[in-house]
Amino acid sequence: MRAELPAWKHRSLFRQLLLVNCAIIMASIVALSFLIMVGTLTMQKKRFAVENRVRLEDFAGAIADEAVIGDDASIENYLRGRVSARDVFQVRWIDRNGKIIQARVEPEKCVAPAWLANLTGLASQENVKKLSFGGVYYGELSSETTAVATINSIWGTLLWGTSGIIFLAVVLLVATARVLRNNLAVLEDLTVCSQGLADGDFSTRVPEVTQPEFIPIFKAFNGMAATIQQLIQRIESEKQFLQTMINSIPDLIFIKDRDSFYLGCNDAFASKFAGRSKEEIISLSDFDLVPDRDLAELFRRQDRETMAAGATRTSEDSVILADGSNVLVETIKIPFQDSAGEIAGLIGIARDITRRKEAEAALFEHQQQLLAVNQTLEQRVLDEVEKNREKEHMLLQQDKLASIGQLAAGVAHEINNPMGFISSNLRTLAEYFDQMVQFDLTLKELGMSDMSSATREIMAERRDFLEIDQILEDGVDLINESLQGAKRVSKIVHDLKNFSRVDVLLENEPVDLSSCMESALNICWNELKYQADIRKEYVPLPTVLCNSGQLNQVFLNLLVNAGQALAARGEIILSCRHDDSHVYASVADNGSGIPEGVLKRIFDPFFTTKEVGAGTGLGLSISYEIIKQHNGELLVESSVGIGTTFTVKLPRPPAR
Amino acid sequence: MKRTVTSVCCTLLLLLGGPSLQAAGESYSFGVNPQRNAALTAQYWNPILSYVTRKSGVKLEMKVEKSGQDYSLKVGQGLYDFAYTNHIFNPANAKAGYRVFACPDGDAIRGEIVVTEDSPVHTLEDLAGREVGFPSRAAFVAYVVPLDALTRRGVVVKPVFGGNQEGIMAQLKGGKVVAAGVNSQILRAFAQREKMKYRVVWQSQEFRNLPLVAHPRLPARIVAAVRKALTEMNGDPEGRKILQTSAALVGQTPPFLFKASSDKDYRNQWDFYKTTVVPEFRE
Repeated sequence: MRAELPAWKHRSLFRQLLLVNCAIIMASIVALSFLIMVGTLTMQKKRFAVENRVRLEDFAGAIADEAVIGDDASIENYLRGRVSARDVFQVRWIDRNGKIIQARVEPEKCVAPAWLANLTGLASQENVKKLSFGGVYYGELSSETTAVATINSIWGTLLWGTSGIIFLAVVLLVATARVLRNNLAVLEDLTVCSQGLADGDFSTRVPEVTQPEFIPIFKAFNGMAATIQQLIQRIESEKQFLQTMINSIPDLIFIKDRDSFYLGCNDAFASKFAGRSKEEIISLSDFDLVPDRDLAELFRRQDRETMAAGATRTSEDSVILADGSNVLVETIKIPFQDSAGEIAGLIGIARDITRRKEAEAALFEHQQQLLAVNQTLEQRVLDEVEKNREKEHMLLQQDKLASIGQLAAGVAHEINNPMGFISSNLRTLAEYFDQMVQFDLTLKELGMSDMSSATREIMAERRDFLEIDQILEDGVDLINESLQGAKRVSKIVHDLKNFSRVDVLLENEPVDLSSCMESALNICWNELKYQADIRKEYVPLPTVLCNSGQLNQVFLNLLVNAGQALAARGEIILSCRHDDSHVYASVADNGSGIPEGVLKRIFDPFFTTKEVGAGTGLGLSISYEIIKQHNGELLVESSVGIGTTFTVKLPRPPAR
Repeated sequence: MKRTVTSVCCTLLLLLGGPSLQAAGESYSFGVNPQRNAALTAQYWNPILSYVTRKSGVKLEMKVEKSGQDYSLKVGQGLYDFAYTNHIFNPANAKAGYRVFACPDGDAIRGEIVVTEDSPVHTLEDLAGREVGFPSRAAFVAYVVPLDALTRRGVVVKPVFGGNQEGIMAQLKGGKVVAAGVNSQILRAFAQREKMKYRVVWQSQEFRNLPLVAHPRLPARIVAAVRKALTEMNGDPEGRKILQTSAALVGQTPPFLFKASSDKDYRNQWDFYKTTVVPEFRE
């Protein structure tokens, strides 16, 4: 416990300083005056003594010559001129013979009290000097001196000094009081500004002062005030920023104290949830804001649990907003502590998750749909991959067929030459054989009569043995058949070359579809002739732009398939027709027909109804693709037990 | 008053007969030429005279005068028993009958006219019509001899008298006179003591330093006793110390001793007054 302060310490600083200054000033003045007095007196006494000695020495020096000479008149005259009422009022010279020469005046009257004269020792002083030169005594010079002027001066100084000291003390006191008042006025400024700072006026500044002692304090104060102002402004700015940020958050943000009374909220909470201003919400509870008391009780219970646990809590609650809408909110409650570390309340952030929940449901549904779509897509991708694989096989087969065609063309070319001279030789041989037959007839008509019977017999025997007549009879037929065979070979070779036009495989040209069908028929005729009769129902056709090699391949496939569709010998009808826009070429058979289930897949790659090794399942698929590439259509009509008709439909080229 | 009484007494004594004054216990006056101020003269001579008094048994009392003129007058009147002066060669004083019995040993003295070192005066002619200082009209080498030289050159100056040798030297040093007639030895001692720088414009022939003379009324034994004490002073440690102390007091240069002398040693000074062109000094 603090001790009781002495009474003087309760006085104002001004009075304390004034008292202290008065005491110091008075003490200083008295001490100074005393010291000055003592110093002056001491100095004056010393000076008086020194002056007297010097003066006497001066007198002695002045009369030295006269003393030695014995010039008494000059000595007396000199001494008379030296005496004065104010200092040396008597001078006496006694020569060695005892003769006295004296000069004297009455000293000036001393106005100072006797005690001062006695105290100072300045009233009178006698000094004596004996004069000797070279060891010879000439006489004694003495003087009696008074410092009455000095005493009077000291007395006057004492009187005036005392008055002056009193006056000076008063002046000093007044000046000190004024200085103190001025300086304390500065401190009053500081006090006022400090109070202003304490009251929240952070723009307050103490005015500039001229006293060097106060300049650092005032500068420090102004610096402190400026720093506080800057900090407050920064805090206000950050607070404003935070408030703006909090208000701009669409979530419902609120602050409650530890008793679940609202301390504040953001704009969203006030407008959407409470339907009141932010200021009105303060000090209210959920029971004031939520019509449903059960819900308000739930909120209070959640608040207490959150603050009791001291940990963040999240809940989803269905609430009714100020506009009457019922929404689902996710509320996060975070307890906060005061400066003492005690739970002081909580901060709540409620977010409308109604749409989110709906979106989540929609998303789940979309997810399921996507899963299904994914599965379909996966299957479709697999199918496409399979198709691509089939196409690759098809292209490979086309390449293989093209190679075979190229090979066949080469073979045909090689066959064509020998077939040329075979045909030529056979025609020559036929002519020769005909001439030999003519010669034999002639020989038989003319030569037999002139020949001996033996010769005739030998000739007949040899003729018979060699079967000349049979040779001659069959020879013509053999040669004709050979010629016909050679002709057919040439035809086949020619068709084979045309069929395998691999060199113009990618180029379209005007083609007559009926001739294409003929070429294909020739290729496969050797096989078809044992299975079917061919009936051709051709009409003149306009040419179409197509690849004849590829078209030959299409028709070959259709003819081969038609032949293979005939279980017994049947009929294959080749026909063609056209209209304004398209040209049609059909291959029809009267075979078993194609079942409807098979009919859907006949153009699928590798689909075949033939025995293993009998077909690749690519013929119709390739044919379909070729016609499709020519912007045409491969049409099929089939009836089981009646037959099947494949029709190539190609567009007519535009008229020039 | 004292001086008057002393003068009267001396006159009476002379009239009544000298021997009675020289009775035992009586003192003999020793008049010193006022080359310096009286106090310094007393400081110089009193120790010497006291020593001589003790040694010789002749009580000597130093006498000085206010001015060289007064002194010379008294010399002419024969008022001193002993004297240290060359005023006796002045025809006006010669009748007093003083006789030389001793003199200081050392260099001869010269009369000189000197100026301060920075003075524009370089010749005697430069002094024409200007104030020139002298100790007194009685000063031999410092006034009579220089005035003779000035007169011989036809240079007329305005004499200013300083009372004694050092007095006029002090005036020269203080610039009160443009030049001064001085005793060469007194000047040298003064200049050394007072740190004065000077330049000699004119210089006389050499003269023997001032003699110690005795009045003829003194008994021979008295004079002899005094001469003996003086001349033997240098041989006595006490006397030599006194001489050195006194010499140091005025800046005198060695040797510091007295030697026996006579009138014949001062023949040139006797003769000067016979040949001087200054009328007031001529015999």
